[in-house]
Amino acid sequence: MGRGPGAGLIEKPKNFKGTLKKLFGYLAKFKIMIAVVIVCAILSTIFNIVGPKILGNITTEIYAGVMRMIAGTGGINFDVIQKTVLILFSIYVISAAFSYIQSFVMVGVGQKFTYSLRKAISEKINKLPIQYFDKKTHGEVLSYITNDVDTIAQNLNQSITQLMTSLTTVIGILIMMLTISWQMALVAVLVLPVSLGLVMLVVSKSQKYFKDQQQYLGHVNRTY
Amino acid sequence: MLKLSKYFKSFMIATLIAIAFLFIQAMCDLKLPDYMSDIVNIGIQSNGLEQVAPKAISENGFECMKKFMAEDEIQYIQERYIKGSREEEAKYIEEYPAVKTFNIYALKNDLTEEEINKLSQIFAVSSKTMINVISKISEGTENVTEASQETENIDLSQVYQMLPILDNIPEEMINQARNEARKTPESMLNSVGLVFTQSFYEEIGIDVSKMQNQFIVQTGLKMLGICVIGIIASISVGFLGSRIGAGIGRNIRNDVFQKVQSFSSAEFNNFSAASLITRTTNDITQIQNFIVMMIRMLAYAPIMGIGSLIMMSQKTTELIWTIALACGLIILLIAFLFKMVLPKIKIVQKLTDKINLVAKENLSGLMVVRAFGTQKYEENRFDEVNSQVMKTNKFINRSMSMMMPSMMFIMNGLNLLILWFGADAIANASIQVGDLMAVMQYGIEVVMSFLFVSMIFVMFPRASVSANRIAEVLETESTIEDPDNPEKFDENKRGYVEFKNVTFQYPGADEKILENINFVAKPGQTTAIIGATGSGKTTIVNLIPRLFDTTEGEVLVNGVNVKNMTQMELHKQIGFVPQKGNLLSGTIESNLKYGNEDASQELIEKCALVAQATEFIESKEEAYEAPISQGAKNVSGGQKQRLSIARALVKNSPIYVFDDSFSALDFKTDSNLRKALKEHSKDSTLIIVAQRVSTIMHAEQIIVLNEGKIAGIGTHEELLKNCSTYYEIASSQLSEEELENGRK
Repeated sequence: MGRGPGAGLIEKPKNFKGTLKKLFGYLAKFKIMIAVVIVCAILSTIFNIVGPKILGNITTEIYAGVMRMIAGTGGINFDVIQKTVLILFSIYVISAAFSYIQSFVMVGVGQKFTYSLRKAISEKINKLPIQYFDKKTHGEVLSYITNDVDTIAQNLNQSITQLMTSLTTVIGILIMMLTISWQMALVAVLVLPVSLGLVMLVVSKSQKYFKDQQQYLGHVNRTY
Repeated sequence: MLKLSKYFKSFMIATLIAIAFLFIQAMCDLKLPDYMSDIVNIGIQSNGLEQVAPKAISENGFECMKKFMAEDEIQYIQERYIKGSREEEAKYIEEYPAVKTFNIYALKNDLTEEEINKLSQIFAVSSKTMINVISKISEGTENVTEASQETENIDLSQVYQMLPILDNIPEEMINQARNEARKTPESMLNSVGLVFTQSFYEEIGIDVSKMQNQFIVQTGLKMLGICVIGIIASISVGFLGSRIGAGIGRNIRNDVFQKVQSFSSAEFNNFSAASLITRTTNDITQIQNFIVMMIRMLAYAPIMGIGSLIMMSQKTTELIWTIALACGLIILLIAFLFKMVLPKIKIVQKLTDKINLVAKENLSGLMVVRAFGTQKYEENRFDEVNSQVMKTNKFINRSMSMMMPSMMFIMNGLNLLILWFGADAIANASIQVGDLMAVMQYGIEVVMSFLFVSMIFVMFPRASVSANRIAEVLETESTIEDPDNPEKFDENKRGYVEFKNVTFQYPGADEKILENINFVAKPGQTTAIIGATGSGKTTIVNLIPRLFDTTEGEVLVNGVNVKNMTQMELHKQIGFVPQKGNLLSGTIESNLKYGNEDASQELIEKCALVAQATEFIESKEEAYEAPISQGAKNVSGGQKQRLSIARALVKNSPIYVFDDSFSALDFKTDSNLRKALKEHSKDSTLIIVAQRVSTIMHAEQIIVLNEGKIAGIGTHEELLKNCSTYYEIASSQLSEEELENGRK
């Protein structure tokens, strides 16, 4: 629920690769669960993508029926439509089920991850040299424990599921579009670099401000 | 939530502009399915022909159609078509190349939409009439049947050939055929009429497929243009929304901070520092995000939803029930989730406070924790709250993640319903295919906007919990308030501090901390307060700068009751050195200048000298510029005390209060400091709380406290003689010799 664009909140750390590695290290515990999430996300997306294509069959049938009506040679074939509607209904049910299983498992991963990260910080506090706390204010440390951990968990949750669903969606929809009309598919693909460029532009400008925002929140904490 | 609505006031105009942009955005978004429906209905299904009434028609065709019209109809169309003769061909040749070979009739340019619709209807009816007539008379003849069956492409020359036959047909038969035609559903009539119109266009040499392409491209360009306008509006809304959200966040944060500044110790007992931190950061961020969401989405949703419903009902009203059903299901779903999740959200907010509290305690008690080796205990304490947070959040998020799949399902189901019942409606020719597609889109829009509106109910509780927590802080009135009409100081009593029958007990406590305290501290004199731990020494000095209000009796400074002057004015009179010498993060200099920003370097150095701080300050590399960390953890307790003494001296005020401020100093520094102090502030009133008799035995007046009551007032010598409490304290600290000296 609206914490700003996910990518924007990651401030540029000194050692991005190392940090990322550590983060994935924490995630290793959840391998199996994440695999379930990924499979479910892919399945749910595939069923979701097949939907419109089949839905299109109904529209086509209706249109053909109308043409037949104008010509006076027949009408809409309701048997075909009924059959297609039933197929679609089951597809939608399956897609919803997979989608729910996926988020259910992912919530578990995200929350356990948050928990273990907080636990690790609380234990670390008691091991760090005292000098560390001369440089960091209590407010900052508190902000790591609550705000920052929340942000990581939220982004992680979104990233993994979104990465999977988006990837499957892109590939699936591309295949679907190609089966409908390769010319139209081409046009849609050509638009991508343009929008990508726009997004990059906005992100590169906004990143700095997201970083500042987190920092100033720390400052506000410190004032107390 | 309502309590914070006043913050919207200063952003009223920006909000109104944002809403205006939202309307523009909605109008653009709503227009798009309409154009798409046009592309399907006109561009594809009708080959790009927008109306049945042809813009131009050959003379033959015109005459032919007239045969199937009623008298008044003929009259009507003749008035609205101009005959373009071969002589005027230059005028039409570009548009209608066939004008070279025969006369044409062209539609007048200045017709209203109503007239064109009427014309279209006349043409459509006469087309259908013609087909009806032909199929009737062709029951016997073989070749004509074909002509009437293949309505998709009519060979006009065949029709013209039949004209002579038609002349022989009785008028009645045509009238009957026309009545039948009029009963045909409108969309059918339209389709039939368009087939003829297309043929008429082809006859006079218009390239219909080019016309079709042109129509589609034009409509597409219009859609693109509207899209661009919509995007600009949407960006503007986002921009304004963020500004409003951030602005309101800033204002609330400022107010909360100011409020907290005005809090007296009594209020701080109600809010823990950790809770105040969450309230100024997390909670306000929560509100800020909610405002942005509200402007960008929630305000947009009703506009879009109502607009979509209106647009949809223009296409058809038959399918509205499907949307009502979808919305009903969504309400049920949300109500269910809402009921499950809401109480848990409240718990999470409390737990977040708790996690902050536990972590903060661990942090500020770091030394204690390490010294006592209680790390495990602290970690377990944190772990308990942490796992509670995890469990509650898991429940909330799992319930909430039911939302998306269910919503998707409802939305897809709605599409199926619309298609299923829409197909029926199309079979009855009550709507067209393109309209059905537009209805599907509008349907989704309505449900989506409904969803967003219901999001208010999901987000509102969270935001409103935050709002309430902020309002709690803002609404807490400090128990210590400035008087409306502050009194002037008594000039003759400058520097006087008087306690008259003062009794004090903490709000809500039964026990009296102080009882019936009376004394006067005069300028140029040192008044010392001594007593056992818990005898009320600190409470007495806290009453002077009005950190608390007395329960009974009055405290007078400069001859005026402290309740009758502004706190600002009161605090200007007092240089206060608290028991815990809190320094603020910054440099030594910034700390010394804290009470007197304009202090000269000379004054600062002089005060530092009096406070015996010069030595250690100058031993630092940066001297007065040396940094002080948060909580002043990089200076020792004694240094902290000396710096806070110097800070009070820099203020240069007539009254100085030292609350046990020499405790961390060694005896030598203590006595040096007192000597320097006496010299430095000859005309000031000094009030010193102390535990050590040696610190205060030279004071002009010593007040001995015992369990909140004054056990004796006098000089060291007097008290030794006639105050047993004082004698007990003194005898435990001084040598036999010193005691004897005092008694003389």
